Amino acid sequence: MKEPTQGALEAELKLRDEFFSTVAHELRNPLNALHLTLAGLIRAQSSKTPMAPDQVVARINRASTQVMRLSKLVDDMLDVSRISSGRFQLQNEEFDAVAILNDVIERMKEQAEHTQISVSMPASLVMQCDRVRFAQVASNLLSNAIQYGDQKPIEIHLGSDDATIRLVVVDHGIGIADEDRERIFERFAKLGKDSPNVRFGLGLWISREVVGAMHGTIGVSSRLGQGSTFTVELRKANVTRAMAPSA
Amino acid sequence: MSNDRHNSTILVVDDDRGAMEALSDILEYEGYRVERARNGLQALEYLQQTRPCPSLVILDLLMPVMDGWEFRMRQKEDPELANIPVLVVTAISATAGIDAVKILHKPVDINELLKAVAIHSK
Repeated sequence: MKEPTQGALEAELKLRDEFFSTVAHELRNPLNALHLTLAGLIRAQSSKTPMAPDQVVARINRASTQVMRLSKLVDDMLDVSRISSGRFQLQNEEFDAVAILNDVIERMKEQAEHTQISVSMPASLVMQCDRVRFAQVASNLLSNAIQYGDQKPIEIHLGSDDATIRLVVVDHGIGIADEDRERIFERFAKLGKDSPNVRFGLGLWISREVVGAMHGTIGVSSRLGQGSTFTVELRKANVTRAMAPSA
Repeated sequence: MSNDRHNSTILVVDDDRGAMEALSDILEYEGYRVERARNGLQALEYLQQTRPCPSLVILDLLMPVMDGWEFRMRQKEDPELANIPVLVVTAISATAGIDAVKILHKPVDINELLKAVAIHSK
């Protein structure tokens, strides 16, 4: 096996340092919300006019939501580690993609708030691949559509032909500049000057790796200021394999 | 209900729902009126359409549609809005180029936050 050069090792170390720095930054938002929620609760309950029990429960629920966000971020980081080192395994099983997609949409309703989500899909669509990872990819795409969709309606389409199932998630939000269409699939992608000043997380990178391991494809078409359409194509019947280490 | 009543309205601008809820809860408990915007453009439209203006804007920097830097630039271009003080609350350390009465970094100390709000919302 060929030894990596000094330059390649230094570049890898720099990439790793940047990754940890960005992860630390990404942890700050949910940590801040969790900290302020709990600090506010302590301040209120220590005062002469403590909150009523139902208000306390509402605050604790909000704190719990932030803990789940932190947990998701940690899961994503572990996925990055597993994928990068080739320790990522898919479980092949038969399931109804419609039922899984409905579950994902139901779980995202709170995040969606008032954003309208319309769905077109058959009554049932049986496919074979990793059920949990299929749900993860759908969840990542829907989460991005909500986050960058500017609260405009989102459309989800699920369909198939003889061998392929196709999941399409459409938003009408901020969109992506042409030069950034590939960049958004990088870890913590920083977009160019023509795109809105936002930072993507790990979800799209993980989604592309997972879909690739399922022998599928994921792509995006987009117009700046008009929205994005993400399309995932997967074989109906799949073959499980371990993922090769990824850079 | 709050311990102290304030006669001030604070506009909170943040795309992070958790941060928005947590900040709003604290400010409302302290007796401030809170208005909410999810990006710089929503905030700018709110300011242009609402009188009297809020006493203070609490501004995140990294947001979709319109970020905090562009919001601040366009706010300062409008003579009717230019003097509303802006308190930046951000998760990023690179805050160069932003003009604010104070910059607080997440996770924010609640006492420091409330002290800054009390001083600059008068």
